[in-house]
Amino acid sequence: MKQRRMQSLFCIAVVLLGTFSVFASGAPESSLHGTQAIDALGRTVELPDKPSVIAVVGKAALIPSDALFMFPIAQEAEVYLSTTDQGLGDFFPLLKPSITGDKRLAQQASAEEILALKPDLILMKSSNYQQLGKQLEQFNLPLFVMDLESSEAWKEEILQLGKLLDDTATAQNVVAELQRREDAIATQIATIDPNQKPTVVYAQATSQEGTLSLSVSPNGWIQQSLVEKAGAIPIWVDQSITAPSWRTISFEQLAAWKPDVLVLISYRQDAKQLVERFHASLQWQFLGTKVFASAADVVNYAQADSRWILALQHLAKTLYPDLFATVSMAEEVRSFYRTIYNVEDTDVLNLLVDSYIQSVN
Amino acid sequence: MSADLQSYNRQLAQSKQKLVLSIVLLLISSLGALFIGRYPVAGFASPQLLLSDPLYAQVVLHIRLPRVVLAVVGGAALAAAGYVFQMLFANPLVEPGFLGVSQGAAFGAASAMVFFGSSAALIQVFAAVGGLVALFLSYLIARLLRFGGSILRLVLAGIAVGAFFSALLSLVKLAADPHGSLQEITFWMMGGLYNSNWSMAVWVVPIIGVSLTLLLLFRWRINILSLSAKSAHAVGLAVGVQKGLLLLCATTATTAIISVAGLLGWVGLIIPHLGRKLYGSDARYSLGGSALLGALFLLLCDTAGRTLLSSEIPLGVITSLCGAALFVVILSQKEKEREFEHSL
Amino acid sequence: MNTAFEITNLSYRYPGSLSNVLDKVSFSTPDSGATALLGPNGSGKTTLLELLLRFKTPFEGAITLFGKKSQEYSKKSFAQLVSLVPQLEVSRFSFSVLEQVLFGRTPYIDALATPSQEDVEIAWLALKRTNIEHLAQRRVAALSAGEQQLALLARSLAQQPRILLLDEPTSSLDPANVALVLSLLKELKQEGMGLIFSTHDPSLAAELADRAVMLKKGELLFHGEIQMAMEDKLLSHLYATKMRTYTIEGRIVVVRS
Repeated sequence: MKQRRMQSLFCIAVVLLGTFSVFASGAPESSLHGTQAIDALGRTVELPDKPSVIAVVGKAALIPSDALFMFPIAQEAEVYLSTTDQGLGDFFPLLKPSITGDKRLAQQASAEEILALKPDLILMKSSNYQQLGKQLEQFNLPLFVMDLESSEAWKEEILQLGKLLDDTATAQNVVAELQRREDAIATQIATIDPNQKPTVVYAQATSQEGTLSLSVSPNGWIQQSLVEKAGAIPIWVDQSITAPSWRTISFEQLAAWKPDVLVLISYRQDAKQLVERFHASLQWQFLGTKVFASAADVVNYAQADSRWILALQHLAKTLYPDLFATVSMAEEVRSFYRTIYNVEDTDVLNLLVDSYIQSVN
Repeated sequence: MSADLQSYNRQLAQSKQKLVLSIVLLLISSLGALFIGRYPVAGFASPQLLLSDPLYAQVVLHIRLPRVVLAVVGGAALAAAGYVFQMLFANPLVEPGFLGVSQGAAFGAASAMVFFGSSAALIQVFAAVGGLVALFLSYLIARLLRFGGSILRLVLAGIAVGAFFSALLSLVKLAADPHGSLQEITFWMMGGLYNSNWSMAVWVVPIIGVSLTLLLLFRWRINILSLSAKSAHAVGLAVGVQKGLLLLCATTATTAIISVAGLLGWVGLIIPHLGRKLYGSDARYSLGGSALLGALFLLLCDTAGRTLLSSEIPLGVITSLCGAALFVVILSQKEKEREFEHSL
Repeated sequence: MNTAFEITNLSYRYPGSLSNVLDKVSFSTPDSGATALLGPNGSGKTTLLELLLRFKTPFEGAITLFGKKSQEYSKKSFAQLVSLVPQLEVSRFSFSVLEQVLFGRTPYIDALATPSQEDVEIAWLALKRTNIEHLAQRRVAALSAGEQQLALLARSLAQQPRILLLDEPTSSLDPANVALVLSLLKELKQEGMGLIFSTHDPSLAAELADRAVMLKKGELLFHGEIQMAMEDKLLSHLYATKMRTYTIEGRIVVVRS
């Protein structure tokens, strides 16, 4: 009697599983119209139609979101963005006021939650691929992974994204503008005598329980390339240390380097306050190093974000005020948002420029 | 046959019935869990939707089904392993996590992830080795200690070994790439079935299946092994060998689920107590019963964790909250209501 | 009467120790009838029982059981021949008395099997024999010391051995239970079971045993008939205190003087 019950339960289970597998055959093949591009992981991504719902998911979503908003489609489509925990302000509602509340996803939103939005295109930073990405891949939805960790990557990946969004014109304009600014700096820097180049330490500063601690980024990260392109020597770079994470440096180490300039970055609070703390602290005072706050508006510039070019421009001007005397950073910031992000609203522009000015003065 | 003997047989029959009921309850719950989630809405969505929405079918098959399977199998493994540990160490207050097994498995799995790439098979093996080494060390250290009774010595040794492997794990995390394996490890340490997929299940289910089957086959002897070594020997058991084999099975089952679901504490400690209360102290019924309870418990916790909020509540958090609360309840019971005696 | 255990030159020392806890002890026990192990605390009585049970391995010397070397028996067959009633030990889990007694059936149950109905009935009979069948469903941990000792005895009876080893079987019993256990052991003796029991009460030995083995600091002081053992000078030497034997109503009683 018990055996028969077990048998019938087993049969039911088999039938149910069989029914599921009928539906597990997968989504229909992509159509022949539509676009195709290669993402940062080398995956070929196909987009059959113009997307009406776009989701930027997972952690570190700030950066692919910045990339997306360079394109007009971000204004046309329904867009969902993961929240970011960088706390200087929220950029996206400035560009698209409807992006609030329920259009912001939790960083840890599950695959099901994302699928429930019925997105036509999903963007994510490469660090999310191993887990969230692989889960979403099973559903044959267009998933475009972006890395954007260097200035070169920005240019290449923007072009690919443009291809995907069927808007190569915008992509080329953006890349051309970034290149123009970069070239303008490079030509001036080329005139500098290599022996005259100042040494710079670009450090992230955090203040915990009253003490200030500094950490520097790993080799090859964008902070290193910023300093080099700005015509200085990134003295913290140590080829023998290969650990891929920010490392804390002690006062002794800083004294040993004795850099000409120290630039302090903070992703979550006002870097100027940290500069003041620095000046106030007896220990650091003995160094005699010039200390500056890294520039920011609602987002700190000194990271692998679209604003890296502003960080470069600001740093170059700070190191060589004479060479770049004719350059007005306020104007550069303004024109950046106008040309690259198509911001026309003067209130928004003023807000961004004022935030920048406050961050460095 | 006397009246008392009849009542004993009746009790056994009742326990058998309870087991069957538990199996049925588990099957029904598993089926129900397949239709609960966040797609297309938060909560329950009718199976009829399977016919009209192919995406729903895929969600059920690719996201939910492997999770349900792993939750059920993992919960059974943790509970059964905890049960066996408690019997074999004659200590109602141990679980593999207390003896450093979880931390050892965590260290093993993390090392595999960081230094040898993330092949599922390798992670399993490293996790198992880490767990077994930790168990062995706890046992050795407990013999060295000269403080307290046997239960206290084990717990203290377990604390030391657990701390040791936690420290090693931190070192591994330092060496991990923050954009890659570090995230993998950190998420995984909080304990969750977030990442469940079929390629994992394919490894975990057979390993746990075999281990649990072995444990269940030896259920009578597990009773005997809970007695003193002398008594167990007196009725003809090769105590050391048998305990070793059973602990090996229990540890393997534990490390198998830990290697995919991270650290899930308290399940192995609390569920066996509930199991013994429900099915009696005799391992012939309460071992299987505890496994079923553990499966049900983890299934419920996981389903809640992935449905209640838009972002996942880590499974380890839920099991710890429930487990710790139940722990306090159990220990505040009067001695005669409890199903074990104290005397540290 | 045949020989059950034959012990030759048996010595034991703890691993890593340099002195013997049991030193070159030789004697034999009959296959029916009772042998008492006498001696002060720490004389090695429990160790000797553990060696007979094969729970410890001799440092030197030999033990044979029914003419065959003790180690040559399989675990299963040895356990069907010899059982130990230990000093009081209680499981931390709430097994019932009947379950506890059922454990004694393990040598007759295959490795992956569980007790049969017949096993349950044999366990039940053991409970009746020790007069505790009314406690069958009670938790062992909730019983008095005396009742727990009887449960341990019942467990060994369920094991149906030919030789019963007992470690201080009456130490924790009140007089009524002592009488009960004694009469039960006498019955078992008459039914042909061999008994070897340790005790620190010579009067008990006098009442139950046929033969005596006296251990002092691990050395054999005496082995032979019980009447020869119940002698003032010998007992006084054994216990290092003045002992006197009296005969009261045909029974030998030993007291300190």
